Amino acid sequence: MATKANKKMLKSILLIMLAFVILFVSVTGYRLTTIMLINGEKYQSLASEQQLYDTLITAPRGNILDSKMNILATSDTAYTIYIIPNSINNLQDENKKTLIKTTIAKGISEILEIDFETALGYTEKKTSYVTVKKRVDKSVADKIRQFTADNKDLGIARYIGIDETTKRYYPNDSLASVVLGFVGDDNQGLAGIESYYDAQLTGVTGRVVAAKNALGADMPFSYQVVEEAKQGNSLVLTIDSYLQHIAEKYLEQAVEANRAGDRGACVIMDVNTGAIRAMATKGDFNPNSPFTLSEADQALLDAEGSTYTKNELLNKQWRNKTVSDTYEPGSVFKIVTGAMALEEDLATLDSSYNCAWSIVIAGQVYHCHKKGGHGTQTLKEAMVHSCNPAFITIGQLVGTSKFSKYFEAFGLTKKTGIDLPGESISVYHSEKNMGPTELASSSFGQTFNITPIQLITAVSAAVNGGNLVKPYVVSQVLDYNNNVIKSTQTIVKRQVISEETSKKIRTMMQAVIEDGGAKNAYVAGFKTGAKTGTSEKVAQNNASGEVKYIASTVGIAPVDDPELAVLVMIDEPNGGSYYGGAVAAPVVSEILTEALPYLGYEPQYTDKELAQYALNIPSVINDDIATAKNKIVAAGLKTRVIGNGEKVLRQLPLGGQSLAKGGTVILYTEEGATEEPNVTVPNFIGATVSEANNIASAAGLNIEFTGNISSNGYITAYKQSIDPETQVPTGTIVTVYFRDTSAANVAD
Amino acid sequence: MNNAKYYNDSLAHDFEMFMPKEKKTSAEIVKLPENKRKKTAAKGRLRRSLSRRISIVLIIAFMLSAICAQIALRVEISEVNSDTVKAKQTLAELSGEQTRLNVEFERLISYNNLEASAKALGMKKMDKNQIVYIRVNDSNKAIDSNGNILTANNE
Repeated sequence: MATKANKKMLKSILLIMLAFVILFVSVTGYRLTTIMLINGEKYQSLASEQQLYDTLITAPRGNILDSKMNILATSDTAYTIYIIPNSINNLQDENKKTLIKTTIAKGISEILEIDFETALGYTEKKTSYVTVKKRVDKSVADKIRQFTADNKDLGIARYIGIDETTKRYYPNDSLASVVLGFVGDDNQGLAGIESYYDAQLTGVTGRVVAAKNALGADMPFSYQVVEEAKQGNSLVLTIDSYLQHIAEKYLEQAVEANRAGDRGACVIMDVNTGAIRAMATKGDFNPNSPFTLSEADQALLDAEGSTYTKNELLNKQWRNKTVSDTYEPGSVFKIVTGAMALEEDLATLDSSYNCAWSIVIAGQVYHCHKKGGHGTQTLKEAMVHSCNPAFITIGQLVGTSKFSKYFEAFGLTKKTGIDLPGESISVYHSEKNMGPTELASSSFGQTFNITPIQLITAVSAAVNGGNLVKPYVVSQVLDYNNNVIKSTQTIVKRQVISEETSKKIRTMMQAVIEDGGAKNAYVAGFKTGAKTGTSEKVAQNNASGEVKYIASTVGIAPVDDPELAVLVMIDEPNGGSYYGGAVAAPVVSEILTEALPYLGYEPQYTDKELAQYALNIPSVINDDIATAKNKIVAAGLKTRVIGNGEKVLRQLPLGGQSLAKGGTVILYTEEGATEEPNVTVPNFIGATVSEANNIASAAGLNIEFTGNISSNGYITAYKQSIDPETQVPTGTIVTVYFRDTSAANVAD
Repeated sequence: MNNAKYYNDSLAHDFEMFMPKEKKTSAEIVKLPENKRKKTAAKGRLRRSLSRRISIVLIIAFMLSAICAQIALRVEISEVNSDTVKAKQTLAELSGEQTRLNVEFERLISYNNLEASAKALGMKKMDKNQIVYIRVNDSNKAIDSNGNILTANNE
């Protein structure tokens, strides 16, 4: 009986236990299913957060290189300094808390050059992370490390941290700044190439995942996975640093000399490929500190009653004028009008047009810049004279339909598609809305707005055989190991005009330099072509009542087989003249004078040029006095002997250099002979050629002429190589730049 | 006895426990000499005890050495890892420094700086007369097995 009862009890116990087990397994199974399958991801992430220490590694941006592989932009390690205010505020000891706060504030304010009160404010914040300064150099980070080490007794290291990041460097400061753009605090491209190619330049962020112990401390060797950051791709630009440098140098000088009210711009483009060799806007900015205003802009902002805001001025200096601003091209556009007429056989170079100073189209009177008019003239002469009535007549011959067709064919109705951000669209009269007066004004480049890049692309098509090419700035994309992963090929959009028409355009542009308003774009030793333009800023003029102009010139070289087109525009010149021929043409000359030899073009001087510009100085060292004098006089130069010796021991200028006809070579005949005292360089600006010669002679200096000294106009000096009042040895050569400033020769 | 046996074989009644136990005669018992038996047992115990001790010592020694080796290996790995991390940090710092110096160098030799320095030193650009242009034949060349130079013109 008892055994039976025991067995029953045992059975019951087993059943209860089984029920418990089943219940336990069910509950556990349910929980496990919920945790693992339903909320698996959530718990995985929570576990990772709790157990893993995850740090991101900023990927360095790719480099930006010029066409000769010189670095224009690169990235380097930099450091972010931060503090942990919560850790300080959690301290119980109030005295210690205050001491730590003041010590930190004093230290970081001195090292990071910030205000003490600001630094103290950071320590008061109720947060666990406050960035004090971003992207500081290693030297500054080292000072912070030293500071924490010096204050070890206070445990400062627990409250200040240093994070590694990267910083963008632009070694050439403002060189090509509007093309390169700049990056923001998080290394994201904000303007220019940096913005347009941000996806290419930005690398892949890396990370370090390490295990944490129960105290949250790092356990790097127990479990650590490092995914290295991958550097972004590098870009090779079509920009040549040297061409960019000379374009910026001469543009800046022109902007300053002509007190340009709204900056200046310059583009140098390969007419055959569309590659941009230089692209400049002055005043621009330094991409190393893009949020700093230039001195001139800061003065504008600080001026009493200034209506400017900092953002407005910053946006202005970041703006790439050649791509983002539109303007009325003025007479430079006559190249396009002429090309239309020639291509459609509506004119030849010898077709004649009459200019009686004014022309009336649909009741609207248009005047020529030359009072009294040019009379009868051929198309070539009309281009040389930049005669508005003649081109209005040509425009009327072409008609609205063909004019609009060519306007579009030259790429002036659409963006060029250049690989830069912020390209503006043009504003023009559509065929439907174009009446005779709109056609008339459009024929000489007014009442429509295009960008400088559109204009130079159209001019390139007009002179390169008729091909409209797409301009571009990036020629190659390179990976981390400098392997080429993408190359830009020239894109010919269409052939707009024939090779024959193109040749005629080149002939006309050459004539404009030789006999027309672009004489100041003349380059000794080279055959070049150019066309100047002076356009009224009609929309602005109407609004303000003040007449403002844009002076521009486009040059091509060499004219027989062009490689380069150079466009220079000075917006609102206030330096006396506002004509393109006086303001912009000399800049084209200066740029091409340096650019062509640099590109390997050999100058071929005519006898006239050689005689006018420079005579080769013979070397007479160790010659006796009589022989030396004879040699120098035979070369067309004068001598001046210093000392009583019999032989020439030294000469100034040296043999091999060149000197203007009538220049003086000083011959030293005694060792230690009393040298001629230094002389003060006089101011040559505004002097004519003969006046400059006399001034130089009186000062004991030699002069080298450059620029336009051959035209029949009023030639005066506008620049000199050595600043006035500078002390230099007697006989030093000063290069003086001349240009024609007579309105008759530069008006367009 | 036979009957008893018979009864013994009966499944119903087990009287064997009540049967008198048969005693082995002393003649049947092989008696070992007392000392020898004791000695053999003692020797066996000793041998077993010794080998057991040796085994334990060996196992402990092995375990200790394994643990020590493991610790030593860990320490070694930690040190190597630490050195690697330090070396990597140094490499990164030096690479950064190299980049910074390159940037500084590029800045120093920028065209603006070069031109300013040249101007300060009183230098001027090369004169037109000082430049001599030399033409070189820049066409592609190949040398055949006989040493003849082949160009695009003479194929």
